Amino acid sequence: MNDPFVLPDLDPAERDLHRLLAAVPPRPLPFGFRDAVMTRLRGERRVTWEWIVAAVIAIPNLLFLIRQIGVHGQDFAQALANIMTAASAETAGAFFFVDGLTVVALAFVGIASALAAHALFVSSTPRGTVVR
Amino acid sequence: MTRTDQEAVERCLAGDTDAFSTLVERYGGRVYNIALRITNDGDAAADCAQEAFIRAYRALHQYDPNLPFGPWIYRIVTNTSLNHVQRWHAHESPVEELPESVEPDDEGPESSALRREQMDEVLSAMADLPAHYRAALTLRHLQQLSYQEVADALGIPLGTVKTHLHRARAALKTRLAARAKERGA
Repeated sequence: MNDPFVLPDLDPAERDLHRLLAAVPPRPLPFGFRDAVMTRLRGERRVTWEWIVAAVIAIPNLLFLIRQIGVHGQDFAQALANIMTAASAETAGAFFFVDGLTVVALAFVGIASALAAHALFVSSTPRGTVVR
Repeated sequence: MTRTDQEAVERCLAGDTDAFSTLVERYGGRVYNIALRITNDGDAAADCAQEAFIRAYRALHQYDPNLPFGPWIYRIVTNTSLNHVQRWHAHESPVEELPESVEPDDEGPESSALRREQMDEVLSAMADLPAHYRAALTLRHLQQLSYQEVADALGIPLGTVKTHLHRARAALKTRLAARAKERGA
């Protein structure tokens, strides 16, 4: 396969063209090609882990929040209404009660969103740099 | 340490991403040159070659270790490049110059220059051909694959490869003749 003029199944009709084209020297790879590929691959693995961690954090917390809305939805609506009333009436205090676990769950969903956003950003970046 | 392709693939599948660099190093040049002749664009070729390796890595579990790695990655890069051409019609600027030393020449400067000129002429005529003809000619003559290997790389039957190559050569001849006529006029 290395001898440009010897191909076992070379047809006589293609011999001239083959002699010419087989002698075309290959163009060298762009500098840094291998590193660019490997950087992208390593990035992909990291991104996969980020998606997994984000999902592990987000799913139970989202389920908890959905449950909270189901159980205490009226309380949340009331709290929001109180805040809106206080804001529009320019009074100093607005009474509302939010369960501490709900706040923690919201914070975890925020962290998961940040991780997912990072993973999305990295994986949508088109290509590693190849110095040309 | 030099690894065989199969060893490198095994290690990648076992989670050692770095083992893939052996394959990139070994096949990078040929993969890039296939993409280059199909896309006719150095930047697009580098992108397609890179994309081909990424796709190959993702699909490593589908690779049959009893078969050689080369034709498998050639098939991926050919598809990636043909898709690129289809999507972007990246057909504009033929790949320009040939490097200075074309081959170890025992011929002499004049015939070597003439040969170089012929190569340039044929390559730029080739750049005007439809992408699937360019792909067939590249794999067959520039990469020197057998008919069967070309068929595997293009994912088409052996008979179709022969027809493609026959038509590609005829189209190339027509274009070369037209160019010669233009120059003569």
